[in-house]
Amino acid sequence: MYEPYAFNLLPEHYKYIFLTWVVMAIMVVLALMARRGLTLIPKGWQNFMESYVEGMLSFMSDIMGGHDARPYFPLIGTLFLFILLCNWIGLVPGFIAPTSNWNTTIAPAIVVFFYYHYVGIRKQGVLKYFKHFGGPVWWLSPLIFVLETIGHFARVLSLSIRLFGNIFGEESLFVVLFSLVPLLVPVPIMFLSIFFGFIQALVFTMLSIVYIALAVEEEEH
Amino acid sequence: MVNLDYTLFIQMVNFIVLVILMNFLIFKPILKILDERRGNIDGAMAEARRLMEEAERLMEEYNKKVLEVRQQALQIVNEGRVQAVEEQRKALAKAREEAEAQIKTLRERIEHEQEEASTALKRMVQALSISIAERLLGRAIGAKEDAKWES
Repeated sequence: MYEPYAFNLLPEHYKYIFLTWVVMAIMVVLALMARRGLTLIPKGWQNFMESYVEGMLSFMSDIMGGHDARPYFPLIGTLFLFILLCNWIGLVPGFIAPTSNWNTTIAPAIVVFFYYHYVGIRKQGVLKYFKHFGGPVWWLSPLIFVLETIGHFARVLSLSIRLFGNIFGEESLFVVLFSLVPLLVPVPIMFLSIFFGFIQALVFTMLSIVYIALAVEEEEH
Repeated sequence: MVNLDYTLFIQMVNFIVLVILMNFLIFKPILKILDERRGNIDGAMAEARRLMEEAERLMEEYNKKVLEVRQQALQIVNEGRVQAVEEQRKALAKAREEAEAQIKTLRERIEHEQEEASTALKRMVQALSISIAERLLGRAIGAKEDAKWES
């Protein structure tokens, strides 16, 4: 189901892993370029990365309310940029989006899952954190515990499948349209891909922030 | 396509390596710079506030000192004026005394001269009247008759 391009030299089955490495290389290059001559007054690439960092920090603070968003920033910052670039690199002819494979999307979802549990336990202690899984009243707690656990695992599934489904669907649509009318018709689909790729990255990131916030602020329940 | 296999773990490793790399390369330095910048701005504002307070305090002191000096100047001027008035009075009194003394001496002299003049005049009148009487009478008048006319 991958695009049947003639100049497709990459090994078919592992294309998405290779392209993940390409995306990682792009991000590292961006980081290195921004890192050159860090000054107090930013200019050039440092400005770009700084605006990204500040924008993401303010976005996180909005969702997390009063808590300080800084300790959780590295994961979320990388996550958004990674998913965005993975989605967009699928638009390059000959490339596919790494996120059009379920393995690629479930990996960040699992990492986020373990991360927010880890953060919650570190902040509140094991017992108190799991006490929340019991729910408001004590005699309902077995049932609610089961429900919460299933819910938490469902978060992993929903995060990964939402992203995978959207991007894979776009790619499939593009392939079909391309095999039908290759001249100009796929172009609107490509614009749509840009837009939806961005939205999917945003949604994944926003939900991760929400899960982290929920794990951290359990006290007020 | 919709199957999970061992590549899941490869992607997980990829992702975690990416997070660590990005954190180390760019996020930590940028966060540090954001903090530093905020620290600088805060420090500069605090410094500016402190300097302004200092300037206000110095201005107040300066004003107070100016007031003091002006009061002192006023006081000195007043004293000077009082002294000047005093001296003026004294000089005036002295001058008046001198003038009066002079006037007295002059008056005495005038009186003295007047007396002398009057006696001289009387004698002249006497001599003149004797000569007139001699002329009239046509003969010399003896001393006895001088004394008669002397009164």
